[in-house]
Amino acid sequence: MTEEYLEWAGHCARRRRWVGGAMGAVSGDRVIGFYIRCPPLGVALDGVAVVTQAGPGIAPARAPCRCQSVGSDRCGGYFFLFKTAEILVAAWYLLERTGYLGAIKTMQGYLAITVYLYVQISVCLRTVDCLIGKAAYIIPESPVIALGSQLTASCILNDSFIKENKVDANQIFWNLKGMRISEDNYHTVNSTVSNVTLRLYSVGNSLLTCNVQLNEDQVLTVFGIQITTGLPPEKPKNLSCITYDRKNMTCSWNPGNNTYLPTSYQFKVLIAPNNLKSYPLPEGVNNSYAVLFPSIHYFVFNTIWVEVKNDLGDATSDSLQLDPVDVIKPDPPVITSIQQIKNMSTVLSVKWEKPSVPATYNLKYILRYKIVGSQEWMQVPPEDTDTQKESFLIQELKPFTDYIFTIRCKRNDETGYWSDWSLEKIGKTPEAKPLRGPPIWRTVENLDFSKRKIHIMWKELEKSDANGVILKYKMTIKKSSMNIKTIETTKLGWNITVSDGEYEVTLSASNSAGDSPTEILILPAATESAFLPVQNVSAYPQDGQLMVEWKPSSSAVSGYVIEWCEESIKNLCPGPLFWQTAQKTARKVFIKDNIMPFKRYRITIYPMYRGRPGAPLSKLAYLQQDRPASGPLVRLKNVGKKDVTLMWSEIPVNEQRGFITHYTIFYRNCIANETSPSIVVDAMCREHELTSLKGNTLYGVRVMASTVKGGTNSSEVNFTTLSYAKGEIEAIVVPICLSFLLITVVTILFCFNKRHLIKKYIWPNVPDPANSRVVEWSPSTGNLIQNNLGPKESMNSDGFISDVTIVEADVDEEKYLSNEDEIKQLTSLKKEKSTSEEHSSGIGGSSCMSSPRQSVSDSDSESAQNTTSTVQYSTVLVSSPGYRCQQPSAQAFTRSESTQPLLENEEKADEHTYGNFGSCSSEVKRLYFKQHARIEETNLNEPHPNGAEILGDTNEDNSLRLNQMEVSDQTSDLEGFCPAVDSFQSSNNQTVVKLEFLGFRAGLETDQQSYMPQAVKHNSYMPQSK
Amino acid sequence: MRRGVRIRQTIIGILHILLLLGLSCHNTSAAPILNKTMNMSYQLAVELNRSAPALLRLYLSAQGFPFSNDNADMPLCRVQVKCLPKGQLVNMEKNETLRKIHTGVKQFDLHLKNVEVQQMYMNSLKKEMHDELKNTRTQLISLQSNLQFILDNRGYHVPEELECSPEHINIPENLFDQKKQGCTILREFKRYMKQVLKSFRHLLRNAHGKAAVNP
Repeated sequence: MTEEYLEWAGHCARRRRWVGGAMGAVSGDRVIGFYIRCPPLGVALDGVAVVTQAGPGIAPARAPCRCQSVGSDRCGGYFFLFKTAEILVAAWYLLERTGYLGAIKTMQGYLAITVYLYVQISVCLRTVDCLIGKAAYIIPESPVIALGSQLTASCILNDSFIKENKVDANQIFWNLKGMRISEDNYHTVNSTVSNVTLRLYSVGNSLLTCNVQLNEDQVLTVFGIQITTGLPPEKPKNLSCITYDRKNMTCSWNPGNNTYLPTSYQFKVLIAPNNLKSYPLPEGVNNSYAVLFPSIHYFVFNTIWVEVKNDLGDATSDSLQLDPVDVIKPDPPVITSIQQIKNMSTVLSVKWEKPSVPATYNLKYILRYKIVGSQEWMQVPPEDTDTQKESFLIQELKPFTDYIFTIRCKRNDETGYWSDWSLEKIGKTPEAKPLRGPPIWRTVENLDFSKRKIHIMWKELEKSDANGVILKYKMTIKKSSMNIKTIETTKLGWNITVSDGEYEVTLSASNSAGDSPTEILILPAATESAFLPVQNVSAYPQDGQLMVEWKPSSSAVSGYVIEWCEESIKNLCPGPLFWQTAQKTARKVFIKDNIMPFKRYRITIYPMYRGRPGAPLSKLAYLQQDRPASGPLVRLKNVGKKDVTLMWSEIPVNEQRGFITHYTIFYRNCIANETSPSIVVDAMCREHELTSLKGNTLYGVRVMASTVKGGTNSSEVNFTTLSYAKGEIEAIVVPICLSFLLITVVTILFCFNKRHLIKKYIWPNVPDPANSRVVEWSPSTGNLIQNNLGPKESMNSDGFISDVTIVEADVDEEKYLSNEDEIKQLTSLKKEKSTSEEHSSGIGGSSCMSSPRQSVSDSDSESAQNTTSTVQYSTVLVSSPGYRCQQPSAQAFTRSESTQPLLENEEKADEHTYGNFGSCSSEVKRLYFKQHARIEETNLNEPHPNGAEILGDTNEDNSLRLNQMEVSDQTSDLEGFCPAVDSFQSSNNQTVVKLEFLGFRAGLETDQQSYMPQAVKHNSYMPQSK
Repeated sequence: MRRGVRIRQTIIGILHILLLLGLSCHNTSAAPILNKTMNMSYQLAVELNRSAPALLRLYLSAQGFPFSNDNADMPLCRVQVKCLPKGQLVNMEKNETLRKIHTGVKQFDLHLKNVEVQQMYMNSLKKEMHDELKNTRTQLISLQSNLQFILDNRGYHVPEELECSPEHINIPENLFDQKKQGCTILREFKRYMKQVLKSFRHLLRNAHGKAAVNP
């Protein structure tokens, strides 16, 4: 849809003349909207715009039009027409062609063009009417109905249309807002008329059209009307007025519900029967109107009411009769000056100007004032200002104080309204003498035995007490009523060093008006005992401040000094000291300054006895508490199996942030992750023992320090309980040790008792060949041996074997043979076994511990071979001719740990040995020792006691000495024997002498015949010397 | 005979009493509003008495030389103007006084209307003067309304038409003459309002005593 606005001619009914306007058109549509623009004349117009000359299908439209100012207001409405494009285009062209648009802007041209347009458009519309013709029309044409009311409309078909289209009223159907209306709502009256009955329940405009069904496919809308639905106006209520002098009288009322229709309001004022004034309200305003000055009629009854009207009805409010003077709300007075009165420090003079009011209008005032910064107003009663005077003296003010003044007024006969408060104005009273001396206090520092450093300090006076600007302080120090020092200063403190006597300090403050009364402080002698202190000091937070409360101990108290400091270290106040005074009647006081939350303060109260401080009493307090900033430091004092003792340190004062009320111990089994119930201990405790713990278990423990605001945990301390309780190990170990000791002792005793038996098995006595009787028995043995050995295997010149290695000693059941019977028995056994066992004697075994062993020849050679491979060598070192005494000695008998295999030729040597045994069975069987070490130096040079030469290699390495057994042999002893000596040549040219042990001793003890030396194989088992 | 006379006298006496009571009731019901209206009229007179000199000053100051340099007593403001109230307001019956005041106020209202129209053309921008002229006329209308109400309630007829209406007087074409005429009207108005105020004080003093009258 496009919309064009055309200059138009409207008609304002009241003025009965045409005015300039505009018309809005919607091209190609049936509904045309228009509005009338107010004329550019600056003249107010009231009336109704009417389109009187509507063309065919155009419903004459009406709209109220009210123009108050140039170009600001406009009114509008709707009407219908068919084929409007031609009409409107024609009208538009008409304007363009005539060129009168520009002329409208002038008064004369405007009037001319309006008349011209009226004529032209009327002609045009009539022409169009003739050209177009009407198919039908609806009655009523532009109905306005109340919401919910019933409307009956008739559509009347034109006869020519009926004839031309061959239709009748039965083919009529109705549409409302584009929706087809049910057939129940309309009926055919006759062939040309169809009636429809509607009931509308929505406010606003609704388009109702009459349509004809020409045939099955063709429908023609033959006419349409616009139905406007709304509400009739309600009666305005609660009409009231207020007069602003020389400005306006504003009346307001409650207009009631919205009518949804163009509704006009008229404000009526009747002064006299022949003097009625009607004020139409501007569009958009329906609840108030202001009659402007100077049209307000004072001192006469004004009868006021409101009339409201629209298309559905009208209403009139109740009339209100009043004199506008009686409802005046005057402007506030203006305070012109506030002046001080000479020599009167508590008085100010306030002057003002009254507002513009009628001459007979007497005012009363309310003058109020307050101290700057205060919230509480004081006011002068209206009765005191109910005069024609426009000034007032305000008394009993505080000296040297800023006051704010404001004033308002009202008619003194109680009619009308109070004015607003005037603008505030500030005035200041003059200075007066200070009301009292400054509060004074001191700190004392003892320098030595007889001197004290006194810091005298005082506070600035409160503003209310200073009564002006303090210019200086005067201080006098007296001792025994004698002036010692007088000081004038602007500072708030003074240091002085005095003796330990009593002093009196007086202090006064001065301003421009004079001096204050003096304040006295007595510094008692150092030795003087203080007066009674106050009792029951308590301190607690209240209203965000710290309240200190106490009980006086004496009625002679003239005041109090409250001293406080922050105790950041226990029992110490390293920071500054604060103080304030209190009246003698005071029992509690707020500490004013320098109090911070979460800090501990030590508050001390001194009662003052006419300037003399009494004994102090202190109390610790917090303004606000919090949980501690940190937890205690926990340590383990003692850890047991089922208990542990914890210790913790006190939290530093500046981190406590409140009074510690208690400690809570939390501990848990870290392994089983079991938390045990917490334990609460008193705040004074610093250690606690946890019991009923599990042994050898890891525990975690925390200690929480709590204030009234909550607690803070320490860091967790872990510990593992012991596996055994204290003494438990001792209880186990000691019995065990004792038992072991006992067993050991018993074993030792047993061994001691059985030592012979043990010795027999472990350290048997080794027979000493030197003591053999063979020596005595056969002196020519040496020769025999010499002969058997041959020339190359010469014996030691001494005939003494110095180094003998026992390759094997086949002891068999050999026992220590101590008597002849045994020897005999053994000899007999030897004889029986001579053919089977004797041959094994040269291989392996210890000389004292070897067990009976199967001879090599006794079984097969393989087993013999095995035996030789595990043979142990024993070395018997004989360094003295002690062998002769047959004294076995541990020192002379050493068991060799060597596992050196026997040489191959050893077995061969065995064979030779057997051969020798066979050929020389009568010779005494002897053991031969491996002779590879050198002969001891001492033995080499020392002649054998028996004159025998020592056999051995003098060049043999000393290191081998211990591996050899030295055997002293007497060549002479060997003579006459046929020792069973096997000799073999080792790979390293060592000669092993195998001595048949068995029978060696026996040969000494038994009969010579039975111990005859056996034949020795030639070149074997003979001691060799290199 | 005597008894009949007595009875007749008694009945007449009772009727007399009833009549007086009825009259008193009638008077008392209307009295407050009349007193109030009378008081408002007096206050209007006070206001007019105060505003008249101010209006004259404003008028003179707005007319330019020579009016602005002289006071109202100058010869310029002593021209002949028809239909101004004449005669004294004292020594008259109170309703007659009120009626005369009503007539005089009405005449001055019309005179001021003429002045207002003249000044609309001559000094359209002198808003303060226009407002004061308008305000004065409003007060005069209010005073008329009050006086008519009082007189109507007292049954005293007030003629609708004036014997000499300022609507019909000749307005000089010369602007200077118009100014002189206006000046004369305002000067007379000031003088007249003084008389009116005195009359009201007199009337109120007689009606309520001195205490009832505001200064």
